[in-house]
Amino acid sequence: MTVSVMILLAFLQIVPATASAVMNVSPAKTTNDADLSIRLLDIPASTQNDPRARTYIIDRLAPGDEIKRRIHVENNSATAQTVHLYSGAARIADGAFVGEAAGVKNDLSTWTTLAEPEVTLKTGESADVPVTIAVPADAPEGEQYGAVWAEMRSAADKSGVAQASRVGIRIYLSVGPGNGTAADFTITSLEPSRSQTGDPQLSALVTNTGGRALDVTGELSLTGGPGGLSAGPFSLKSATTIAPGKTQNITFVLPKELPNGPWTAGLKLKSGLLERNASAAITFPDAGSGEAVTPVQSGGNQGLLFAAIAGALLIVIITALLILRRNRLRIRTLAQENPEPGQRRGNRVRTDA
Amino acid sequence: MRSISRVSIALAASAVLVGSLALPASADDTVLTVVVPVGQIGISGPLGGTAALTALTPGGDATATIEDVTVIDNRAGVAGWVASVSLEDFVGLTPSNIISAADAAYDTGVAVETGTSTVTSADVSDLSIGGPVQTAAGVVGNNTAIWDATLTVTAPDDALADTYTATLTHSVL
Repeated sequence: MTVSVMILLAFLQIVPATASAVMNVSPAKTTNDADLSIRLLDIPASTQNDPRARTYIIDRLAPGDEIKRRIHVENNSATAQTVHLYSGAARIADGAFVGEAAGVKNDLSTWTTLAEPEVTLKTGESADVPVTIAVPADAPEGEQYGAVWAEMRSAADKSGVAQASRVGIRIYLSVGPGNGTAADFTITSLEPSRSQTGDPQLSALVTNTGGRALDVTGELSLTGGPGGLSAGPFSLKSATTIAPGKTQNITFVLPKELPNGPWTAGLKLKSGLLERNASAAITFPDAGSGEAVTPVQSGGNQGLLFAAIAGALLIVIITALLILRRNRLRIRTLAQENPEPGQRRGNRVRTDA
Repeated sequence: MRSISRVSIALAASAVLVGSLALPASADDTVLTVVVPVGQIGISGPLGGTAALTALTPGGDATATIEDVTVIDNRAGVAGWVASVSLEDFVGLTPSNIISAADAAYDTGVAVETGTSTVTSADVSDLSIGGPVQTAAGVVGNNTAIWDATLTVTAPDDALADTYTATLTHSVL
């Protein structure tokens, strides 16, 4: 029994060990930090491997539920500062996650409260501030967007423009019972074209078919070109945020030197742990828009892969334990020739404890 | 039979271990949380805090140079960021005197970057609406961006003589 628990313990500790390794990679933060910095301190244990969930507050709550998280706010400016803390509204517009000005409210911003409206921090000081999101029982189902902001303002000066600097953490909150529809997307079509300045472009039409907003990034590789040329990978210039059910064009701008093709375009788009691949034969036009093609798609969901590997490992370990036990029992049975049933049972209990 | 009962004991023990390992420092949530071992993202406003506008005449332009707006992303991740600006209306010492922020524009300089990222600049022609001025994508690990900008305000022909002030907000999300 003791042996088996130790093996399982070692296996289970893989995740925390990796997490602390990540922390070691990041350099000492005090030497190179902005005047005002913010970070999210807690995330749900179930989403700790999702890079989006480590950076943003991403959750799904049933009406009437409440979550608590903490944010860390740090003043590294040359003087003591009063840092204003508040929740604000946000929206997804033209593929971008846009934080509204202070004072603009939506449902989510009214459900989100910070324990302190402001904190006064000396140079180098920081504060951990609890954030509570309480979804009322009569909240409508659907996804809402917001942000938690920390803001510094320059002293009011009647001679021109006062400055405010704020930095925030995005909130993607889905409201509804259960886990809701999983995040998913499809790449509907690929359209090669040439911009007005003559740069070849490839636009991918991406539809968010899941229940959660996506922050889509990705890269494009061109292979099988004229004379066996390959090019790329080219990365996307900006992350595109797509709300559930919405469709957005994602455009790769490529160098002018590229020949028209034909090419085999291999596209790898991802949002958090979700990844989708698509490939199609394309040819760039001399000008304007080329022929749109429907790509061949494949899902590369690494999350599922990791889960499958973890599951398989667990089964292997359990089987190994079973075999070990059986062998041990057999040896014991052989050693104690003609034992009394009660005595054997007693021995086993003592060894296990 | 014996083996099966043993395995169930082992599984129960492992379940208990999972629970104890995943317990957070403050466990007042129904959902278990863990502390995220990542760095932070921050913004540094222009030094001095207040940008002085050049003198403004009705129908004319005034400009202010905004220097060294800095974003430092120490999150060591792959998430991009968006820096945006917005401006309140200019209000005179006589509060009824107002110059709309719609008459102000923000011309963004190209960002000087460190680390792995692609930062794209954009100008904002109507600061009452505001909008993104620098967008970082293709981020791998820590990165920084620093840029200068020019704020231009056009006073309407019927603007009254006064000393006007407004707050320009840089946001990073």
